[in-house]
Parts: sequence; C-alpha cells; structure tokens
Amino acid sequence: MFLSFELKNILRTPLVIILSILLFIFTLFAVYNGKSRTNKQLETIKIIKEKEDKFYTAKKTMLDSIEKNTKKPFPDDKWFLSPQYSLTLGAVRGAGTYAILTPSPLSVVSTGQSDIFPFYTKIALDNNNAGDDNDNFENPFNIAQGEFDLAFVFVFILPLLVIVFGYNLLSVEREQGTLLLIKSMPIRINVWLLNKIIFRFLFLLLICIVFLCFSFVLFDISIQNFDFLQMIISTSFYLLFWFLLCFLVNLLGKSSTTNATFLVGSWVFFVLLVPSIANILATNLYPVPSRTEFVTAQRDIENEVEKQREKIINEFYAKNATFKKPKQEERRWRDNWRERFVEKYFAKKKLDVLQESFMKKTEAQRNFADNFQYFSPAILFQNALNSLAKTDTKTYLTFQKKVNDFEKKWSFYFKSKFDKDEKMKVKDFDSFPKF
Amino acid sequence: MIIHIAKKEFTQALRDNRFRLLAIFLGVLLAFAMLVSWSYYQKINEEHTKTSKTARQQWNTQTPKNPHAAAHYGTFAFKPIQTLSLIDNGLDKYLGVSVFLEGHRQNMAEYKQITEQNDLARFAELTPAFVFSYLVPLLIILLSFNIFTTEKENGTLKLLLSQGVSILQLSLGKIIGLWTLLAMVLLPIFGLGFVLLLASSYQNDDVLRYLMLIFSLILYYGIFINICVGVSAYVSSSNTSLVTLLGFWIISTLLIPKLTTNISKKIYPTPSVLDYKAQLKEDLEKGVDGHNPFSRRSQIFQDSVLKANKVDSIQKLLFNYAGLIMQAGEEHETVVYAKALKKLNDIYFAQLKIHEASAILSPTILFKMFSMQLAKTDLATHYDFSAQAEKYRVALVRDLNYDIKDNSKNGDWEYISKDKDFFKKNIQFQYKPISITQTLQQGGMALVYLMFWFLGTLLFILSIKKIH
Repeated sequence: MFLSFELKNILRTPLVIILSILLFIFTLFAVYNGKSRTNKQLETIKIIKEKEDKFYTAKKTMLDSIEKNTKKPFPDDKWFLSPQYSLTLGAVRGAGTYAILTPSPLSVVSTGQSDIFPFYTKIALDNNNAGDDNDNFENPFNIAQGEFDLAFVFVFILPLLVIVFGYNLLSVEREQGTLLLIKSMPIRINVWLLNKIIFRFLFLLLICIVFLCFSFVLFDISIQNFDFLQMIISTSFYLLFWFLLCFLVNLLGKSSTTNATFLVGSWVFFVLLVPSIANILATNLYPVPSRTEFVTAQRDIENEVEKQREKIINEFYAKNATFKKPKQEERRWRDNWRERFVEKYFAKKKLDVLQESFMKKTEAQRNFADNFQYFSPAILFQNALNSLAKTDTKTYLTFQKKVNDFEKKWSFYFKSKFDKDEKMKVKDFDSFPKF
Repeated sequence: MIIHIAKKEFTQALRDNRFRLLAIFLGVLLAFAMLVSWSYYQKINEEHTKTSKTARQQWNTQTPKNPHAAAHYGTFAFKPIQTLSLIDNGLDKYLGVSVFLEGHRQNMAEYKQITEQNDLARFAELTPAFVFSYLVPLLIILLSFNIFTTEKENGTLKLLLSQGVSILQLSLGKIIGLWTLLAMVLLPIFGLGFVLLLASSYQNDDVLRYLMLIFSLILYYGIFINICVGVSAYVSSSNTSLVTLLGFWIISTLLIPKLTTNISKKIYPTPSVLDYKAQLKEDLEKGVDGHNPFSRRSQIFQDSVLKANKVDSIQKLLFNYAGLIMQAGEEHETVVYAKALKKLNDIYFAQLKIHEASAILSPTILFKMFSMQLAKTDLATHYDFSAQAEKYRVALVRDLNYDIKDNSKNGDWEYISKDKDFFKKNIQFQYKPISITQTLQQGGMALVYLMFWFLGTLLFILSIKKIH
C-alpha cells in the first residue's frame, strides 16, 4: 500500500522523471567516454608491442642466420647493426622493451590520474630517461576541466539528485497543509519520514544499478566480477550518506527553501570546499621543492661529474684489473661505451639521491592530503572509484617504482654481457628480463 | 522610486543572518585565497630569478668543449610566473615549467606541477579565480532566488503594483539593491587584490589587465543577477526558482565544461604520441642530417655549396664546411619541429573553439577563458613562451655552429674556442611578455560573448511585462 503509493508519487513528479532520464544519458555518455579512453590506451599498447616484436623478431632471424653461417657477421665498426652484441639488443637504435600498465577491466569508471601519468615506458640500457617517449598528449585546458567520466556523474551529480529527491519531504507537507493529515495516521512522523527516505534511496540505487548494468553490457564491459560489486556497494554507501543528510535536515522542521539551501551548501562543502582547502593546506604545509631548482641541481651534478671525468675513469681502471685503459689510437667503441657507462652510473647514484629526496617531499604532501578524505565522503568515494579503476596515484607510482626496478634488471642483464664481451645467442632471447 | 526599492532590498538582506554569514565567509575565503596565492607567487618569482641566473652561470662556466658539443650539452629556459596568477593561476600547474634547449630538437616544457601535487588538486583548488567563478555566483543565487517569489507568496507584490510602481522600476530597483550588496563583499577584495598586485613585480599593463578582469567579473555577475531576478519574476514559487537557478549554476559551472571536454576531443581528436613521433621522424629524414654527411640529401646540399662557392672540394672552402652542414641540418630540424608542434597546437586551439562555442550554454566557461588570458596563464601565453624559447635556442645553436664554420679548421673535431669567455658571450634569453593587444586579439571574443550574455539577460528582464 505504502510502496505503491510512494512509487506513484515519485513517478508522477515530472522533475524526477526528467532527472532520471538525464542520469541515464549521463551514465551512458560517461561509460562511452571511459570506453573510448581505454580503447585508445589498448590501441597504443597493441602498437608498441608490435613495434617491439618486430624489432626483436628481425634481430633474432638475423642472428639465427649468422649462427647458421648463412649470413656473414657484421664487421666490428658496424657493431650497432649486429645482433651479436648485447648493446644492439638492449641499448641502442630502437632496442629496449616496453613496460606497460594495462588498463584494468573497470578503468572505464574513472579517468583518475590517467591523463597525467604515463601508462607505458620504454626501457633500454642507454636510456634511463623514462619519461622520454611517453609525454602524455592531451590539451592542458581539457585536463584542467576534467573528463565527463562515471566518477564525475556519481561523485558530483548523484548527490544533487538525492537532494532534489529528498529536500522537501516533510516541509512540503507542512507548506501544503497536509502535515496534519500525516500526523493523524497511526505511524510516528519520524518513522514515516524514514520509510519515505529508504524507499527513495532504494529507488535511486535501483535505477543506478540498472543504468550501470545496461551501459556496461552495451559497451561490452564485464560486470560479473567482484570489483563491479564493490563499486555498487560504495555507490550505495555514498547515496545513503546523502539520503541520511536529507533525513536529518527534514527533521529540523524548516522550510523547503531553507532545506534546499542547507543541502546544496553541504554539497558545496563536501565536494568543493573540503578538497580545495585541504589541498591548499597540504601544498603550503608540505611544499614540494620547485622543479626549476631540481633541474639546476641536477645540472650541478652533471657538471661535477664532467669535471671529474678523468679521475672517475682512472679509478675505475685501477679497481677493475680486467679492463685496461686503452691508448688513444687503440681506442674502440667498446672502450668508449665502457667509460660512458662508468661515468653514467657514477652520476646516476648522485642523481638518484636527489630524485629520492624530491619524491619524499611529494609523498609527504600526498600522505597529509590523504588524511582529509575522512572529512568528505565525496573524496572517499572518488578515491574508491579511482582505486577500483586502477587509475589512482598509488597505482601509477607503484608502476613507476616497478619500472625503475625492472630497468635495473634489464640493464644488469645486458651490461654484464657487455662487460664479459659475450656474444649474444638466439637462445638468449628467451632469457631477456620480462616486465 | 527605484532607489527606494533598492534600499529596501539592501537593508532587508543586511538584516538577514543568512546573507551576513555567507558574505563574511566568502570574503574571508577570498582574502585567504588571495594571500596564499600571493605568497606562492613571491616564492616562485624569487626562485625563477635565482634559478635562471644559476642556469646561465652553469652555461657560462661549463668545461671548455667544442661549440657543437655545447649545443648537445644544452641549457634551460624557465617559464616565469605571471603576476596576475595571484588571481587566476589558470593552466599553470598543467603546463611544464622548464624547457631543455639543445641542438637538433625542440623539446616541450617539462615538469607539470599537477603530477607532483596531492590528488585533491584534481577536485578543486582554492584560488581567487575559483571562488570568483564558482562560489560567488552561488551567493548571488542564494541572495536573490526569492526576490520576487517571496513578494508573490506573501501577497506584497500586488500591494506594490497597486501603488503605481511599474514592473521595470521594481526589477531595476531590485537589481541595484543586489549590486550594492555584492559590491559590499567584493570591493574590499578587489582593493586587496590591487594592493597585492602593487606589492608584486608587476608590469605596466598588468594594472590594465586587472581592471579588465574586474570588468569581466562585473559582466559575469551581472548575468547571474539578471537571470536570478528574471527567473524569480517568472516562476510562481521560491522552490521552483531555487531549483531552476541551481540547475543553471550546475550546468554552467560543471556540466557543460566537462561535457565539452569530451565532445571537443571527439570532434578534434588529439593525436597519439606514437603517431606524432612517427610523423616527426619521417619528416626529419626528408632533410639534411648534420651528423651524416653521406646521406643523399647531405650530398645534394654539399654540391650546391661547392657550386655556389665555385670550388670542387670542401677542403678548398674558405670556411669549415662541418659548421655549415651542421647548421643546415639544424635549420631543417627546426622547421620540422615547428611544423609538428603547430599542427598539435592547432588541434588544441580548435578544441578551445568548441569550448568557446559551448559558452552559449555556459557563461562560466567564457569568464574562465577570458580571465586566464588576462592573467597570462592560458595556453596561448604558454605557447608564446615556448616560441620565444625556441627562437632563442635557434639563435644560440646558430652562433655555436657558425663559430665552428668561421673559426675552426676542416676536420678539427677537437676544436675549442680560443676565447675563454666564449660561452659567456653567447646570446642570452630574454623573455618578452605577451602584450595586452595580443591577448585581446586572441581572447577578445570571449569578452564580446560575455557582453552578449549580459545584454541578452538584461533584455530578458526588461521584457517582463506581467508578473503572475
């Protein structure tokens, strides 16, 4: 009786119908955007994998024919073309492997940090500048505006629907003069209100789930997984928060406009003010040193190393008896590369220290800012969606860390072959480090 | 009569706790945001001066090397912080701050602040521009959504009209009343902004820019006031008025800008980095390679040089050919990079045009675009800086290559300038800020559209003949 009455009540409010249709369109469009974004990433991943495969297949075939003596080995001064050398396979002229962060099944849900962090990086022995070939191409203006993704629709728009659904539940009865009627019913007014709120909550949650399932299925995204369920659960908690707020505001017994003002004020507070104030506190209390200073400090190290070059190289030869310092006229490409590595690793150690102290500061700021998520359900919900979509900062930083570790593995593998002056074999291809 | 009505609205609001509370809160928020922005500006400005000096010092005192090796060693151009970023930092944190200048290639600015900041930066940042464009319109709505509807609900409207007041007088009076209230909140803030501007190392046209920013803000708020008064006159209940106006606010500030972001990318897709690099590589290979004198293009170039100088071998040239071909390669590379970047930037600007077109539904996007242009924190200013850095790079590398050409012997790859101060004497980077004329040429239309919005909404009010 109550249910069918409430349902009719909701369905006969034109505003509710219009907003529900809008929510449907928004959900559809947001999922479509997420899907396009993910597809673009997947396409890129396909291309770079093909590029890498093409490179190594060609080298492998070449090496195979050299081993079978169907092809003459390259002369020493054309070493950079010869797959017999580890540098050709691990360092120069397009050599290297891609470290890839494959988008998660639910990455359509939230753009998160995916528009500012790279999702793939090329790793080569000679190239420790990981950011080199993956600058994120996107219009800075568009990045600043943010994408119309599902997270936006749910974190920002959904609470407003809740507010429209529930701001005047009690007040409108008073304003219409029907409050007395309700008071005369054999039910306590609070319980009556709670029932109404719960009913609306379930109604909105249900249409959210239906819209989500529909658009996910339409765009061929799997919903039969635990992550999807988790998303529904966090959505329902978020909805519940806003409905509870409506309930409390209605209990205060003010006019409809006061209720609406208060609720929209809360929305502004949780969605815009808390994040922006927390952000300003974090950036000022835990400042990240400037990158221009970082760049000049980096250069200082490079200059320092350049000035000490002779000394560093001589020390290397003194410590490593297996290598002899060549005379100028006997100098070959191996010697140049060896010394280049010595110099580079010497500098890298110092640069890593600089980089690490920089990263520590950014981490401190992030940690401080993260505490503020408990002050706003909007931040909590956004973070939850980002981490479900695997587009949160943590995922990208972990990826970068893994990339750095892997780079060490890759470099070690090819450099030790180089140091031992070992010729590469076809069977070595299977033992290349894999990300 | 109009004045009486304005006075009534003014006093009524002043006595209202809701207004007092909100006004004080917003005022404090604005002042706080301004002071924080200003101190940030001071810090960065100082750092910029210091690090630019250091970078030049590092160039000057580099270990003596062949000039072309020095071109590979490279130097930096750092992007200066703009004074008016203390009001609107626009796209600053989404743009790189440091350009590495080296031979053979044009690098993009690196190190976007956004990747180093905490995640909350993606929600919203408490800057004066944020409060101006998002929160103050909300204040206007809360102040005026019921400006007519309460009179209707209380029955006082009939009373007023029966006294012989015209609807026009009534509307204008209410509008003036609202403006007076708003001025009370904003004038001190504008004053504070002005003082902070003067306390910074501002350029002359910054004051004019600031005044124009205030002017565009007045238009922007005018639009909201007009719409609020109009809607309040049209609809019958305060409830409907509030919901309608909040709906408009959300459409203008959030929905349209985000929707347009995706639509603009659909209409003018951003190329992938891979395509961009592949095209670049292809074009680079079409010209002279300064480091490979044996390529076909290089040979053609060599022949033309020999012919022009009427000699049969490069050894007989009166200058070092190595420096010349290096520079020829450089010039080809410069053109290729410029072309590729222009193509990319053109796509970005085409996307911005879509945003501008979306302004038919969102005055907020208009104000935002215009304000970041005035503050010189927009895309165009960034590209202007990049272009200047590139121009400087080209000049510097040319100097270096020509030193080889004019002062060294053919085949002498160990050449080092005899002049100890050679690097010190190299051309220096001088950044020339974009002028207000340039800004208005690029972004003036946003101002015109804002005026359209303002006049259009004013007509909307004037057209109200009857209030139900």
